[in-house]
Amino acid sequence: MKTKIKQLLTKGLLKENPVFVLMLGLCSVLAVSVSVINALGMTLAFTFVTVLSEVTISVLRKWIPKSLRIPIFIVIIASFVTILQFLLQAYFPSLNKALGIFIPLIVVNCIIIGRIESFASKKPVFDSILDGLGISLGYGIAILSIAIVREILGNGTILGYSLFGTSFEPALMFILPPGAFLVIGIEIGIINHVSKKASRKEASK
Amino acid sequence: MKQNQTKQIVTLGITLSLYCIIAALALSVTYSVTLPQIQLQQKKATEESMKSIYPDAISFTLCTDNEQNPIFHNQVIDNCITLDCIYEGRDQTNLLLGYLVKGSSLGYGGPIVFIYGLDLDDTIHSVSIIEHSETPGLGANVIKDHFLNQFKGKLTSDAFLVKQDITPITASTITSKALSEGIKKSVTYVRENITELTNENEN
Amino acid sequence: MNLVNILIQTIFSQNFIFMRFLGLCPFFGLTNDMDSSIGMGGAVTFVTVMASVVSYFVYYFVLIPFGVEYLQTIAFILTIAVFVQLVEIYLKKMIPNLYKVMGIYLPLITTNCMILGVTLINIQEGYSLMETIVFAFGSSVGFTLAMILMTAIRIRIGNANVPAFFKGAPIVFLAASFIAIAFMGLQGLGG
Repeated sequence: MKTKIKQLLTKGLLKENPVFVLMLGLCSVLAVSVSVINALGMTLAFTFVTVLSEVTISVLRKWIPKSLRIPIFIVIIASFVTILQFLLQAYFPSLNKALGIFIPLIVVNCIIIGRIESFASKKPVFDSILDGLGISLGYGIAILSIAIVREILGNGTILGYSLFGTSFEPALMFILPPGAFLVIGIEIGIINHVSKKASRKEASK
Repeated sequence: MKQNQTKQIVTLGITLSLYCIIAALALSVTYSVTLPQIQLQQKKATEESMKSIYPDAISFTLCTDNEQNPIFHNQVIDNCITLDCIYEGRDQTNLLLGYLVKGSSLGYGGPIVFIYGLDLDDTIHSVSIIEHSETPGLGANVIKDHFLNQFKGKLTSDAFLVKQDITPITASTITSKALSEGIKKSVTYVRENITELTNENEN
Repeated sequence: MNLVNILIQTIFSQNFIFMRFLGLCPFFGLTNDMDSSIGMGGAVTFVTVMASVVSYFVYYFVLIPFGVEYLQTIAFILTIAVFVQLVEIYLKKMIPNLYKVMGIYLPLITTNCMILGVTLINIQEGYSLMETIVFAFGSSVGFTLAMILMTAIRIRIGNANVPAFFKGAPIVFLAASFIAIAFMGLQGLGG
């Protein structure tokens, strides 16, 4: 039981990382990773929608006719996204402004639809919660690792605090769109390299 | 066979509408619960901005006409620029410090809602952004002081031309233009029509 | 803002893929051969324009009169999903040749975030019906252009000797980064 929990929670980190390995949900990852604080906010928003949608669909899974499953999934996800929008507007207006259109676009994030289709619509509630948390963790790690690099190199700050003093001229390119593609490309390269090395080591054992 | 099919379609239709109705109900409940808080936040944002422009002022009153309607409310200046309202900022001795002009201008990602102080000697006191949906890292820098400070102390008769007397935000000319044009056109409009303001004060 | 400006901006200087980061899933997933990227581009163009028009009417003639603007996300995504389904049924029955070309891409389109993005931006910017159509058309042409560029580059990459570290996805992202730099040079085009 314990190993199962651990496995569900950690598989999203590297082996099945939704962003780096499965390459899903790239739009929000690349667009929002301009600053660490935005990335943290996006991760929380994503976790909120993923976990709640997975739980709801797992509870209702016996009452969802097969031919209608996609529209029903979308309605449920869209409802949670809209609820999230209200909550953000009411309690965290600045975060809501920073994330902008990428909050409503969580609806069409392929990671969530994919997990619901392949996991939550078939598995019990508890497993679905863990799956949602695990996937969100993987998403969060991906978006944060990109945001940290981009904010340090592109703005010379981390979480808004200046790192190098005023004489530092940041490489603006990393904040701009091309920087996002560059950073994620290099990070995927590093991950492929490391996992290849690890699997080779295992094979030679 | 045919009847069965129709029956199936009807059942499916009912199921889907049931889900939609439940979703819509849940949303309207959350909406009505969070609405007062959302409005409070918007009001707070305006008040905080006004306080940051005139820290010495203790009262901000909405300028209204003789029928108690806010003046210049939703006054469209051109396609992209709209005036929202004007406030008077007064200090403890009830001395008029200046006017606060609130309006919006269409930027790259949507309207940029701004408020600025207009001193009695025809200079811009300072500018503050209440709301915007510009691209993070690019146009979103419109809230940065080094950009906004350029408007401080400008005369209402100045040109406000991006790349001439206003240095634009890097790679965000649209946003920079939107704000400076918004300020220039709204302030010109207010100057032309402000006689009605001063008259009211005398009455 | 005039229509020509909107068109130029959405195709080049504010290209949805390179500047706004919308619609990236098919951009990285489907750009392996020219036929499928052109097919996807065509299908996206058709659905985006039609869905934008339909969502325009849904917003201004249903949501606003009933005072439920806050349901826009849910209403638009349902509009898109239903619309895609209808197009699929219609094409299958009436124009089977076109269905053969576009059919397999249609189910993928519902979750293409560019389409929902376009419909939401139309409302956010308060575009008129004509502007909505031009904006939707321009953004899908921009999308198709990006797909074709990327496919051409990936065919070249297939023949090139890529360093082991960058093999596979990384080199594709780097290529995207360089195209994005080129597109940044078009900033300011169209006002």
